[in-house]
Amino acid sequence: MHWKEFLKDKISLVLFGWGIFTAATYLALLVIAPGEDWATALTYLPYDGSIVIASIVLLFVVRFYGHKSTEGRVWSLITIGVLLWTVAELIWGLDVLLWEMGYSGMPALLIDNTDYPFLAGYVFIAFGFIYKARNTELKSNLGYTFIVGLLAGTFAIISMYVVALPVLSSSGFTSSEKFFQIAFVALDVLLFGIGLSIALYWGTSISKGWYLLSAALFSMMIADIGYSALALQNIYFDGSLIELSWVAAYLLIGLAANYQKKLHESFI
Amino acid sequence: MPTASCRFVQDELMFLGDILSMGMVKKGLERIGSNPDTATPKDLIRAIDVHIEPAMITFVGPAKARKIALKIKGNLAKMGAN
Repeated sequence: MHWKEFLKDKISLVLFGWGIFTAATYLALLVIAPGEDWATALTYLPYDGSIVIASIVLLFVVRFYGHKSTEGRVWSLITIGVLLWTVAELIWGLDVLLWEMGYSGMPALLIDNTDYPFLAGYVFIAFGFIYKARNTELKSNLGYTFIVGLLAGTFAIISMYVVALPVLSSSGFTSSEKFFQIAFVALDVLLFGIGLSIALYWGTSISKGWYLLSAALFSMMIADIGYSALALQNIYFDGSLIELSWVAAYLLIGLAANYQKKLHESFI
Repeated sequence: MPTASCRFVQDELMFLGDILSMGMVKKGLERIGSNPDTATPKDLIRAIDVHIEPAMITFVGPAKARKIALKIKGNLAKMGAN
């Protein structure tokens, strides 16, 4: 399937359009009302919208393949992971919006434990990736291993110096906060490596979908590293432009799923 | 009503899901000028070469797609001989 054909697809256009709308909203709010509470709270609408749209696309993709098929199982696992992330993101977003509207926000039990669904989401997505790698009989290839090793290794070293070591030596985080910040970045690097391995093994002529998925995890990795670096210096705030990297990650996951569906639809 | 050999190929491809297994066989047969209701084992072997195997690669990779295609074609050849 050609890129042009894919980019003209309605679902792809919605995902691209939402990305542009979100970026424009963030920039406009930063210019119009920098530092205003209502403006930072408002960024949660396009932000959460991106993961909700990606989840809906993923559910359509799972319905297309059926959960009993091999491809369906891969996308079911990825969808469960993204749905868990969606729950966590919505808890955060609703809490902020409720506060802004004068209500008491989300219950502490929910808001204090959003890292768990995030972590569980990673586990499901990792299982989806590993299942795909096993199903495609992914074999080791010296050239690809070198590329993946070089990229993943570089980001592992960067995240160690930018996130892991400063977080561990910081006194501003609890032990569980330290654990989650390091775990999220480590899982981003791991998933990026597996995703890229599958994409490289399959090659661009066969499936570009996994390149989009690798790009999504790259974006997620940049967002998590950036967030930790800003939080360590106490300069992170809701509505920061670094959040657009998470938005890009969620929309790229939706685009990757839609690409695979469109590709396989072209065979029937 | 699909022929026995057509149903056999659809069943073998059921790991792709029912929409894709039936759709891929149908489109493969259409590309060689046949259809599920009249397809012979020989037609299906050609449909695998022309359409089904290249499509399968995007699901399971080239090595596994080749293995599955050879297995199905071997069974179809036996069905054609009988």
